[in-house]
Amino acid sequence: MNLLIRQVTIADPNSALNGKLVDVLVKDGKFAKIATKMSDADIPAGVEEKNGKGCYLSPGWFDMKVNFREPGYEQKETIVSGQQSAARGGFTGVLIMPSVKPAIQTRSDVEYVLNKSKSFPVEVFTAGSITVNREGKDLAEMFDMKQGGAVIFTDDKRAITNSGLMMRALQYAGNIGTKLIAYADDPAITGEPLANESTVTTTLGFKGSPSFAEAVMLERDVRLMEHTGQPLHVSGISTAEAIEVVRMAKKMGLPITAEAYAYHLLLDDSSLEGFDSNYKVKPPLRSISDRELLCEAIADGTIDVVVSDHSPEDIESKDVEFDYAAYGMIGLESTYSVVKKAMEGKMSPEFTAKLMAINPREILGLEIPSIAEGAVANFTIFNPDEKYIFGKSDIKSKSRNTPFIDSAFEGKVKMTYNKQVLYDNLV
Amino acid sequence: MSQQLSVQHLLGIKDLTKEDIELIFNTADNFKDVINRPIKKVPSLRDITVANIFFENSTRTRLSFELAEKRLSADVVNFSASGSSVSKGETLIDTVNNILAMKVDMVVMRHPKPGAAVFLAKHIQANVVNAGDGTHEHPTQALLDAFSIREKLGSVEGKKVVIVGDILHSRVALSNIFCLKKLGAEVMVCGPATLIPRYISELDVKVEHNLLKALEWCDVANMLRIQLERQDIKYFPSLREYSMMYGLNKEILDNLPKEIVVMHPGPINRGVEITSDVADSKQSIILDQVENGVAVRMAVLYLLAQTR
Repeated sequence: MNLLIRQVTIADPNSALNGKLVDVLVKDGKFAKIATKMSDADIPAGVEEKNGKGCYLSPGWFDMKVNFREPGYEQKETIVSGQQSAARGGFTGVLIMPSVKPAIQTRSDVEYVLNKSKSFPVEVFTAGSITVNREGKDLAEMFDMKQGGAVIFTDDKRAITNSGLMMRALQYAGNIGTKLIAYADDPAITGEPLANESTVTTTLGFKGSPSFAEAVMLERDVRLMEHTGQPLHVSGISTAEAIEVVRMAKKMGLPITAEAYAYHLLLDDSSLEGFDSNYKVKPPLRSISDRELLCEAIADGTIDVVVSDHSPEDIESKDVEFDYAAYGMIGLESTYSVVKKAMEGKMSPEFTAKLMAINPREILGLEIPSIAEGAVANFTIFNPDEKYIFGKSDIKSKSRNTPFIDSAFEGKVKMTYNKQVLYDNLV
Repeated sequence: MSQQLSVQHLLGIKDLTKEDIELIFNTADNFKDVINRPIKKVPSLRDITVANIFFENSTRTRLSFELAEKRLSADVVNFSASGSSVSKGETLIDTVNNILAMKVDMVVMRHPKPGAAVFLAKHIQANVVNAGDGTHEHPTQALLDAFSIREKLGSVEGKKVVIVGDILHSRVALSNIFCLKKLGAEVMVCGPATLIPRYISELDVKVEHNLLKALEWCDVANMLRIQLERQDIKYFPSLREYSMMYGLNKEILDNLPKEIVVMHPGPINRGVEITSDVADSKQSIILDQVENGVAVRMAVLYLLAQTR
């Protein structure tokens, strides 16, 4: 399909056209022409025209932490419903976590997921497990999984507490030319992470997980990076203490990258006051000052990416007593709006492209879509100033577990385009 | 009586105003007279059916509620989790809705998890009374404790109360702190550092790890039960060592510069939190607490029924 987008501004620090207000012609899946003014002669017959007024065109966004629940929990999300959810949220690519049932821990698990994703234009990549059954005991066959297409390895939200095993996993990953994602948490300190340890959660009767537990494990991981000389991406940074460790490691010149979850930027532990299980997430919602420091760390580049941590859960898993409820919230559709709101003016269109499209692909070593004539068209169009109320109709996920329904936002995803398919949020 | 509570459910002391608490106390004064008469019963809740739903073991709280309900002439049904449909995997809402479908007006619930009463109140029509939800709140215990202090010392305002023991796992401690602070008392918590929540002092509560110092400071000592069943890991080496550091015996009590009041929410581990001679001494108001429990619960049920 051929597509003409009128009067859109390019947001891409890697493009010569960055910041330019242009008309964009897409033909056969490629940028055919990008010009400040398109003459009628340039426009082929039967082209579908879109008005880009007030909007920005960025390289297609990438979410490097999603759970699509297939195989194992297809009633919560399938790979296809997850892809639809991603497209709605402005993402043309995602990284699936291996925490399905069974865990993604063999080459055939990797291939199953990748094959299932081929019918929809959101590109799906998968992480493989570092250890068998994500149990933190024995290394899984990472080399074979990598041959099958796994791009990175993680045990998802289970820290490998055995330091010797983590050291060997790093060495082995370096050996086969891949990278690990670590989860910063010391579960012996954290306990069941129902709530942050704070004044407000004390009044709610929660035992509370101390925030420094993240930094404790992260400091160990930094030592292991030094020793093995291997890069590491750390997930789930939610506390001031952990931000400091990342900052220090970067200052030491270590190849560390870090990610935060979108909901941690906007929500804090006072949300738990009504015991609404939609606010039950892992790591738990932290204090207001943690939240503010997290936004600063994103703005100054200490934290490299923000992810949705999209975690679909059915009603049966959520509409129960807080303790019994499953962790997590869906996030793909709301991530941009949530981050935009939390960052309060620190999300320029150019920075948005860097945070949402470029940095995650760089960390994963994936090709970054470029915006230039002749390049393959893979892009996201968003309007940073459009006000709207996030509603159920914005959700394409099979699940509805989000506290953001009926929330007011400024900043909306308008459409995505990839693999010759336009996904228009108005349709 | 024309006054009404500001709440429709008793989920926690947190939600009550000082006026609510005083109203409950004044109402409880009347009911305490009632239960000391030859005919211990009034017809106030004649048209009300109350379900006591206990998802966690309890003897005295359930008995106390049941007596309170019966003395108000309510119809009472009891339900406890063991051997019920809960063990077959039924959810809390389904269990309670099934009971409500049989036309129950009020639900008294005890549950092992914090927030369960709040959750229930959001989902059902009946008045909910929280009879303890995990480590969150146990409002009627706090009310009867404060009522007993008021009875013994004339008022709660300005009194110094120390709560001794496992503060971390105690809903009694948390509800007591809220209640006593609202009534103008000074509160201290005392226990091993591993069992004191890190942020408890933010609630305007003093923290003391030395029992003797705490007792010298206080007018009232509320000795909490050590609840080993609620501890998932070891917080102190042994009960023996706990009672060496935090157990109250007659010798300590007699050597204090002033006569303090000793309380315990029960059931007592005799020889652990307090020795038998302390429990049975004239300074102990443990059995008054039990008696007042019935009167206070009658007041709560009566006042909640007025909000219907």
